[in-house]
Amino acid sequence: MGRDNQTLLRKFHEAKWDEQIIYEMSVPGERGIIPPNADHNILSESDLKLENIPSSLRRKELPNLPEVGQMRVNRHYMRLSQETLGVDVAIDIGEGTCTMKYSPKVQERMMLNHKIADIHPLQDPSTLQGILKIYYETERYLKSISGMDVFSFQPGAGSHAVFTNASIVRKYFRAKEDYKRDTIVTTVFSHPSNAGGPATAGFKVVDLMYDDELGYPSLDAFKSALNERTAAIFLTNPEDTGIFNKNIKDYVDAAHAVGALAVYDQANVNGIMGITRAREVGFDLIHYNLHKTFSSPHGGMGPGCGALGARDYLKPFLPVPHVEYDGEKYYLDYDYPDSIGKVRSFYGNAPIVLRAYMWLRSLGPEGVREAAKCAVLNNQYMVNKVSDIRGVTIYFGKDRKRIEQCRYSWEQMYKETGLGTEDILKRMVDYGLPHYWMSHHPYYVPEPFTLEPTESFSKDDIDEFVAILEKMSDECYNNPEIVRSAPHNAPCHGVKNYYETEPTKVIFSWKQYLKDRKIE
Amino acid sequence: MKIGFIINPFAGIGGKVALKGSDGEQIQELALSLGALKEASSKASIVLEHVLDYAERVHFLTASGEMGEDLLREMGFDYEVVHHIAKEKSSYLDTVTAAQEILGRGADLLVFAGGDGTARDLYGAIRASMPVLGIPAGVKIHSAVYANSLSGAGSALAQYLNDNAQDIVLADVMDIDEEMFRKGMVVAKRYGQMRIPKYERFMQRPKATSVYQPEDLYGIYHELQERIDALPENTLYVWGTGGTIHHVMSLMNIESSLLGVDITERGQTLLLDATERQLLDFLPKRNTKLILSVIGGQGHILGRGNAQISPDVIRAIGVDNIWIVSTMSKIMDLDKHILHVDTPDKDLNRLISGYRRVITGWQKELICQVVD
Repeated sequence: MGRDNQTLLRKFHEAKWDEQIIYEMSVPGERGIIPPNADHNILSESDLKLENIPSSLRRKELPNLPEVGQMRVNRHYMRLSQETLGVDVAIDIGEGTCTMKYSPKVQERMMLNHKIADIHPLQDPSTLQGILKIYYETERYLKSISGMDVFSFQPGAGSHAVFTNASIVRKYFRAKEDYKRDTIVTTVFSHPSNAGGPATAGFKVVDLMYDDELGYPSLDAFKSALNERTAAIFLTNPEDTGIFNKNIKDYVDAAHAVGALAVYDQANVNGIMGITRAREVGFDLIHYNLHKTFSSPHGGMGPGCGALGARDYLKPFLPVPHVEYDGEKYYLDYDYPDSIGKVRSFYGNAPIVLRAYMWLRSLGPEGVREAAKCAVLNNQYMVNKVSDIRGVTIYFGKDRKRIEQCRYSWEQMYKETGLGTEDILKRMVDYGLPHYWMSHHPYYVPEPFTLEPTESFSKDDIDEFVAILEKMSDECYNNPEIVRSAPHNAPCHGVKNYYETEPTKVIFSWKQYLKDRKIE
Repeated sequence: MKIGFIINPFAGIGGKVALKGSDGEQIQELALSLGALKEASSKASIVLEHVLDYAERVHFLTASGEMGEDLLREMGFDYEVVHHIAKEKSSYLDTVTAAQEILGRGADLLVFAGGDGTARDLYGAIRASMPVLGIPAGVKIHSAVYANSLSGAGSALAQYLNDNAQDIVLADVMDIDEEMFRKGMVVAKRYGQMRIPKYERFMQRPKATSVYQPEDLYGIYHELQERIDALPENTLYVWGTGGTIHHVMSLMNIESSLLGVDITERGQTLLLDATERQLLDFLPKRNTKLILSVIGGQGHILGRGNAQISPDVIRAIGVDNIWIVSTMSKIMDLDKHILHVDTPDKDLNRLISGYRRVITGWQKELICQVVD
């Protein structure tokens, strides 16, 4: 029983319920909740009567909701949850660039506390002193980690923070009446949002390929991209490859030399927090993904928080409001005449800030540094083990250390067996691993996969994960049919990756499904 | 297992000398006289390397000499010549006859190296009577009977030798009319269907009749249009050769030649397919922009297939007035993502080399190294 201590492999089979879609479970008239009628006093005094709602706003017919009782609803979702794999039940080392660390459950408990769950951002700030203090204190810690002078927690995600930073850059140069700076410079291994965010804010984008030896663009190539039209550089470091550009200051200096600003994408700062700071390198703007590095469960598109850090000369352009403290009370400061405005309602995703606060408080300065060191150590161990697996190659910067993650390639195995990264992706489910992240698009590394063990996973977790990769490589070479027909131990088989290849075939709603299948 | 094996030795030779095809003896001779090399055999050898380990499982049926025999002998495979080339130089009739012989002798699969023209010849010879696997060696690869790459073809063949392909499916034989193509018109046509092993990931995508992502070309078109709109109306534009530029010009509703150099002003074509002399006559005293694209697979921007744009022409226009355009995917496929400049003028080559901006989309540029 249990895991085989020699091979580190375990017998696994995912639950299979053949569960229906909840609409198919609907029984006319069945109810989960029967709400009581409103109190007589409310009914007699309230204006909120149906006939007071203009007919143009009223539904012509009742919404098409499934009619299912509570017990069946509960069972339905419990079954679905058993049919999924994720960080809480599996070794989720595969999500490189996403920093899937363990987020302590006590944070969830606190978040559900009524003192947090039941407050509303429209309450008077005098009744929100607790959460405002948490904002203020979290900002203080992040300022210390980054060296930046001020933070905004308003952006709801990393890409959103990049867009916000680009908006600040735009406003900064407009304020200086410098209208010719219409271009930003980034690199192909920086997160794609570093091109996409500024493009959305109206900038032209100049991209840089990597140097094969360095793994990132050479300084000469970088300088050739800079000129009097450059508004800013947007760089990720370490980049997707996991390679850290230790000469990053030269790049920032080169940008400043042409009058451009320097923006640091530190969404994933897990390998360098507490070790190197954006301020000393000279960056003007940064962002941290609190939902990655600073511990919040994430995925499924949110919620998140792209904490945006700026130097003091850019503070006037930040989104409003900003949490301040006058020595007695915390308050929301809207007095930013040059602000780019709001980029999100209220002041960001408070639960994410709360989790980051708890995580930082529990670790302290030394703990944060220790977490980064562990993340790097884990990755060094993992890179060494994975690079020994048959069919795996690490491209670019051949002998350069990877920091907290690494992008690998199955290209050699693909050439030799015809089986590549998507085949492995399907097979790994049979061993109880949920998924791994291949790469951002386009694939500069062929047959890619990107692993990031973070500080949370133990040596034993890494060994098990690597043993599974080894086993799958061996299968590709010696028993390819089992890989080709995988997954075998999962509720679904032979799922085609339609979303990637044929987005027109994806059905997003029940209504669309009925229409598509011509079901009356 | 009996596997048919045919190389069209002339496949691909039209490409590097910008003839955009290799069908017909006249074109082949023209290509050879222009210095083209036969590469189909070396491409086929890359594929066969994938199955060296399974050599004992295969008995090849092939045609004599450079149509298969030479390569199989060199690589040490077991083979039998089922068709002897009659003339000194093989023709499409040899392909047809060899294929019919291979079919008649009950081969399991026919592997062939060629382009769309070769696939059409084979379709004419054997229709869908036996499974085939195409090695992409030609200039035009639109047909779905081809593997998506040489290594893809190798993997597919290796897999076939292992599992004997349970699933056989029909795949389109496509081609464009080369005669029309050389005149600047792209007419794609489905000629028929042949049977292929169902190895989706190794084979050319069924609908891949275009090598361009439309959104890439739209981006380049919008970027160029914006730049042109921002310049004085009397600016002269010299458009280089190749499909990217031709497609962008057609999006702009400007008449253009596919393989020639065209001159335009105010959205109107002044001269189609200009010679060097004509270019030099047009240029003096005018603001001019030169728009160049990148040759796929090789990375040349100057010195391949655009000799009209001579060093004198480039100097007259000015190196700073060059706009380079390319889809991102084309650059990703280049070795080390390096562009090449190879005009007869070494000093000019030096002047153009270094880091240059390549327009890859609307408001998008990529810094690329240009090497002389």
